[in-house]
Amino acid sequence: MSHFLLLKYPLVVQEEILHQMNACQLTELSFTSTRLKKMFQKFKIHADSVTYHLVSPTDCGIEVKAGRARFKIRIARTWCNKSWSVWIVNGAKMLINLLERREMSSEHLHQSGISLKSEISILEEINTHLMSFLKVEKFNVTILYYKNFRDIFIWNIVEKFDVVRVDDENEPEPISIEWRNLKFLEEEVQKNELYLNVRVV
Amino acid sequence: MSSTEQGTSSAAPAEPTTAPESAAAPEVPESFYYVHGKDKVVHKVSAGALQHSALIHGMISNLGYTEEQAKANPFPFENIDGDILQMVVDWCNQHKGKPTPPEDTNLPKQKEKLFDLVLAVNYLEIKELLTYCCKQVAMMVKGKSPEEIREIWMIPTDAEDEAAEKEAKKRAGKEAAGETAAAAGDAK
Repeated sequence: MSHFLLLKYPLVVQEEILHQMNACQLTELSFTSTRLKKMFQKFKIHADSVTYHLVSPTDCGIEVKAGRARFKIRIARTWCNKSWSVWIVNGAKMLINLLERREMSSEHLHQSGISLKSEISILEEINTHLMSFLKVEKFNVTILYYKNFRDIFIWNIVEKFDVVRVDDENEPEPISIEWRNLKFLEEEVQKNELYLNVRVV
Repeated sequence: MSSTEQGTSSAAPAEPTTAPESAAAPEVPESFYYVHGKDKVVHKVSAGALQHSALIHGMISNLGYTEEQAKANPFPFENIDGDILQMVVDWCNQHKGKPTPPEDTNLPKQKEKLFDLVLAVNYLEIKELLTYCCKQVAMMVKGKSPEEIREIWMIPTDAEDEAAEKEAKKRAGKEAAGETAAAAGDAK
């Protein structure tokens, strides 16, 4: 494999090269080295949207979309036999599994069984990492459970969501939700669209 | 000092135009300028082709550099290799007065050449060619895994960075100790 000294280029050239690449590819690349992440921070990488997936208190994720590409990180207590990779998230090492890599998308799973941190706090760390260099056009959130989601960090960091969804698209059954949580979504969360398929408990 | 003429023609119109009045107007003789790289080989380039380079265009229009002066003293680009400058001149001549296509497949495929070409194009401020070259660099890593891309771009890992930092600190410490010892020796 022949090599190419990217860091030797002037900043304007580095920026032009990065702008020719997809934000999803760069997002994945940002986890390989702190130096690369710092380079991306200088230029800010444009992403069409970031969607938070809150499936359950122990299963959550974040998805970056840019053009036709998609990059999804799922954080859950599931073990699988794929090979391990190390990610550098905000300077700290994290073990991850690659679930799927196609031409335009890739998906990763963090094995939180080996971590003492909760899935949500890992999501927060990954989110901090991504927001340090991504310039995001739209934020969305999908919630599939009803308890304690008001405590999650996303409500404090995103000023306005494009789409807030409490609706499992693969499941016709309504999602149970507490009245106070429904009120919170309707009255306190700034959003353009709200999709609900819920039953108040 | 040798000289090459790169596809230039004094019969070519100075500026392409679609206006019928201009087509009927008498042709203005095209002016030529001369540039040389590290190898001192002089390339004759038309003013129309040089429009692509914001740097040279600025030198001509802002500093009032005339064709006669340019002939006596070619623009020196000592930091650009001769073959790279040749590529740039060829590209400028090929795209003289034409709208630039969305893709350019004539760029070098060898990484070393492309690396030098990008630096030269950036220095000469040729915006469209820089975009093509950067696209080519981005295409080189298409379909590669993040770890492969990091290796191709020669980005050190965090561990390598830490080791280099430790080494630098150790060296700085040794140098400081050496200076202190030398100063003590002088005092004696």
